[in-house]
Amino acid sequence: MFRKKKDKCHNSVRREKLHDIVSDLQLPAGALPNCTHFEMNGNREVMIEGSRGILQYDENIIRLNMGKMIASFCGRNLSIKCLTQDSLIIEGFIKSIEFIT
Amino acid sequence: MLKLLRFLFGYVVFSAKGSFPERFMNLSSKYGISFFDVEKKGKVLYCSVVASEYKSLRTIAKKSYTKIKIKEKHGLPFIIKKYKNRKGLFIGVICFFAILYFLSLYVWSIDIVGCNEINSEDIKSLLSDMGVSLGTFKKEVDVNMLEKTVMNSFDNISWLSINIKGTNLSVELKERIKPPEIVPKDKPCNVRAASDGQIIRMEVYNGNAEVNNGDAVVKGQLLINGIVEDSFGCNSIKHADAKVFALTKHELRQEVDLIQTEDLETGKRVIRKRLKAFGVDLPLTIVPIPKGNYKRDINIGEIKVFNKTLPITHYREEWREYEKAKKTLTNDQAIKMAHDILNNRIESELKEIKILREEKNERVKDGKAIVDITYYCEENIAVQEELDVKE
Repeated sequence: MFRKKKDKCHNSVRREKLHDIVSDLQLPAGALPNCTHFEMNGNREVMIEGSRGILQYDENIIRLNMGKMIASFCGRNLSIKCLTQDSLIIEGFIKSIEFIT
Repeated sequence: MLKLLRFLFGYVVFSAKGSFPERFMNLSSKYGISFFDVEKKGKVLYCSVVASEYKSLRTIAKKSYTKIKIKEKHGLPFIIKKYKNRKGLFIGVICFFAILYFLSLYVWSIDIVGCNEINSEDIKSLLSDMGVSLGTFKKEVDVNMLEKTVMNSFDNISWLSINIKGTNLSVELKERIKPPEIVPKDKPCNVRAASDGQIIRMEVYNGNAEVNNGDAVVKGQLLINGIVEDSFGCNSIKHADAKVFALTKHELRQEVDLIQTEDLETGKRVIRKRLKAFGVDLPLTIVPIPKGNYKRDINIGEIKVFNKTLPITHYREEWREYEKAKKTLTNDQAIKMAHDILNNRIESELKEIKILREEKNERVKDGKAIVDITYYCEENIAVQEELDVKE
């Protein structure tokens, strides 16, 4: 139990250090490992890379597990155009995007 | 492209029913199975997946307590499976492509573009003499050699190109415009009269005029002398050049018999049909060539696809029987006919000549209508004649 807590703490310190190095080198934030990447075409299509799973799939809302946070895409006629191991494309009228951390 | 790949590999549209279909999707993506066109209608999820990956979905569905069912099957593997037992169909398809490939190795049409004075049939016959005709193996055609041979065989071709596009051999050529034959300007010559007449005006560019305006000249008379004597009495030989306009007279006579023989059709017809495919004649009717007084009309029908002539030609021969019948013309009809013939003769014989006036004499004598027309014209009668000078 104590060991797990120690590992978690160690990981978070390592991530913070990595983040510092990336910001010091002025590299894009996408260079960080396990970083989610969004690409939107208007409000009709969004491509997500680095998703860890679908939490809720509905016509009006799609909620995705992004590791550290949960992203909710709200809108009309939402559907998943393509789903692969680490990426997916959402289609439809996207009204709002919400992040829960 | 993506659709084509999906069609080639085949894909399945299936429905997934369960309390938590999202878990089924997550597990599937974790196992590396990709979905596309995912739709949720009510509590049922409709997905498409590559046909080969569908089998591995069953275990995932069991794990996630989801029921999956195939709704639609699309793509080439399913089409092949459907017609698996119909071997004849596959053999037919293979044969079709094999024949298509085999036929594409040969020349099936020859197009000749740019012929005005040259008869395209002459070029075709030359090509066939060289071994290039319909049904020739494409690899055996030496285009460069053909181009050189055709260029050498016809003097009036200035440019020629032979290309093989698909099964069509196209010959594109440009005819040469022949320059008029002129006595070279550096060669000495005289100017003589081409016909009898009375000179009305002269335009002398070079040489010594031997005649004056108003003089009557006869055919072959020297008009402009090429040997010019200067003020010192020295002779020099020049290239005489002039335009000599004279009043000339042309007499044309046309006789037409009042009793004419005409070919009248009896109404008897024989039709023969044949098909020429790939250089082989195939008779479509078993009718021999009729004997007697028959005239033949041939109607050649070429089959065209996308503006390309196929090597299949349909020949329709119509043989019409006729008999000779005598017809008597009235005097007016005979004179009119004589005038029509004369008009045609004027167009060919008195071309580029200015006609000033004409005198007509029409009469009917001994069963013939005779029309005499005398044309008074103005024309250039100057003709250059090379001087044979020996040093």
